[in-house]
Amino acid sequence: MRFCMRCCMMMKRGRTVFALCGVLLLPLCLLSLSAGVSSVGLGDFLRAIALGEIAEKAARVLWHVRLPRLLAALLAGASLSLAGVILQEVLINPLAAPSVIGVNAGAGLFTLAALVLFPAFPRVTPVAAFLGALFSALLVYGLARFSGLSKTTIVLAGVAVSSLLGALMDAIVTFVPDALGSRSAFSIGGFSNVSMAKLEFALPFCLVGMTVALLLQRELSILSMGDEVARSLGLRVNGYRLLFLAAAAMLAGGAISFSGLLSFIGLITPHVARRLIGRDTAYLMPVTMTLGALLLAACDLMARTLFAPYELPVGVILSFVGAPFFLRLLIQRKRSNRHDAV
Amino acid sequence: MMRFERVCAGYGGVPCLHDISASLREGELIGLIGPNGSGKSTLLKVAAGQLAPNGGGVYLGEACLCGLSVRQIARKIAYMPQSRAVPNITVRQLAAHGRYPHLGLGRAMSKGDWAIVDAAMETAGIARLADRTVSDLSGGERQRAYIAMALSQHTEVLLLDEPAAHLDMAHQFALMEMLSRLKSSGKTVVVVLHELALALTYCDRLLLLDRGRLVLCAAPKKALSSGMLETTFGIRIHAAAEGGYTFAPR
Repeated sequence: MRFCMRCCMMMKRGRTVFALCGVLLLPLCLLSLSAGVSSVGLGDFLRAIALGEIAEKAARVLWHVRLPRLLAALLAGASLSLAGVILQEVLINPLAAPSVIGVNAGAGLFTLAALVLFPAFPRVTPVAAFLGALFSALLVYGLARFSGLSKTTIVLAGVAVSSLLGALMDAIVTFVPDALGSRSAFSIGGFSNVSMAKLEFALPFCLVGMTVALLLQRELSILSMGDEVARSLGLRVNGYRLLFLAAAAMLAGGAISFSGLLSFIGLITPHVARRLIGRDTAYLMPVTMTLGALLLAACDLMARTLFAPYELPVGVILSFVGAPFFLRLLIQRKRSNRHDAV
Repeated sequence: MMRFERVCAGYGGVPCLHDISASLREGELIGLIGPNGSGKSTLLKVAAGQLAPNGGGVYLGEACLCGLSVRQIARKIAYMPQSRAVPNITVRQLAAHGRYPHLGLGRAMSKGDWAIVDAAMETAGIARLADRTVSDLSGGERQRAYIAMALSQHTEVLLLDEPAAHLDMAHQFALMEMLSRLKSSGKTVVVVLHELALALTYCDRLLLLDRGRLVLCAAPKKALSSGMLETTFGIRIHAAAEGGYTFAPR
């Protein structure tokens, strides 16, 4: 009886964690909108909501600076985290993430190319980022498949492709220094230059990626059991793998087109989500999304307020948290390698 | 039931199977045996529709596998490969994946589907661990969880690649007893086995492969008396009067 109750509680953990993340988002959003370098505070925001009256300066800060930033952090956090969990499941590799397997670098290179070639058409940027992300994901997968598809090969192929694409980016920046506001700011990732227009262009890509991931959770779970098992269950393996890689590329590309090359969020969040929900894996996708949004919005708030009036790029804070986490995962992987297959 | 007609297959242009013809009957437990590298797993992959033959064909009744979609095949044939991932899901969720080929467009599981899943877990002897995560289980328990998934597929044919590997003897016997019960329920069960004693004791017929060719297709007693087993494996086999077998090097 006691065992059954424990099981029942365990099975409901995903729902509880999802609800908790949702509840935490609200105060975080309010805090994020009311804190910052400018003196505009929570009072201005609440007055604007309740009475519809707001000073011109406060309105400018809220609608043109803080709100786009908050929305950008939420959207990028949810999208990159979801892209991470999709890649980990499709490639059956806990170390896979957009920043690890070269998806970020591909999206970054194509974004840069779009800014150089079509500076007057900002709508092209997310399309280019998506194509770049898909190109590098397929390239890394193809390389790894060609050379044996081990878990290490995918990561190594990702590192090689990332450095190649990164070098191409550097070459472009050398010849066209004005293409990006700042190469280093773009590489680290952050939201200081984000605008509602940029978000609007990227939003459809993120939404399509999210829809695919949320609707096809069962297929993703089956694909994560390996090609042979998935095919024996009647899944068209190659078609679905391409679909999921495209969804991950849409999510990562969409986010990168306005946030720059944020790393680690796509790697960390799925693992934290799995720990939190335990065996209630039906909630893995929604929990990963909300947790990613929460985490990145919190990091952005810290980036803006910790050393005010100076601002850290949010990517710096993420790397401080993410790099040790990644190393810990690597060490754990080495220990558990023996137990990889039945 | 299932028929191999002049099947030739290989990987990347290297032929592994040559001209294999055999027919399997309903309610039969078939042991696929042979030395390492003789093509047992390859033949099972061809039978499961995982590997397209270079020549000949596999027929299920009158239908050639080559003309069926993966989904149609999955409704008729369940296949458990030799190496399997260890997913981070519960045994019940894993077993429920077996219903995937039968689900409609909404992919929703009906009460009937869950009843089949519960019955499959019961048959596989894993029902008491239904809510445990697969990665927390022992090798033998994971094996049974995967068998529960294959049973949930509710197919006429069940193909298992070395299900007895890594199991202790008691679990090996339990597994073979379970397969015998499945066969009695009308399923055709084909199982790749390394343990000759299990094959000789439990199987109705043995398909003996040697270097990609089918050299023998016979009931265990007949296979033993033909001397082909001893020649192919390079060993001596002695059937004890009180039952059981002893094996010795040549």
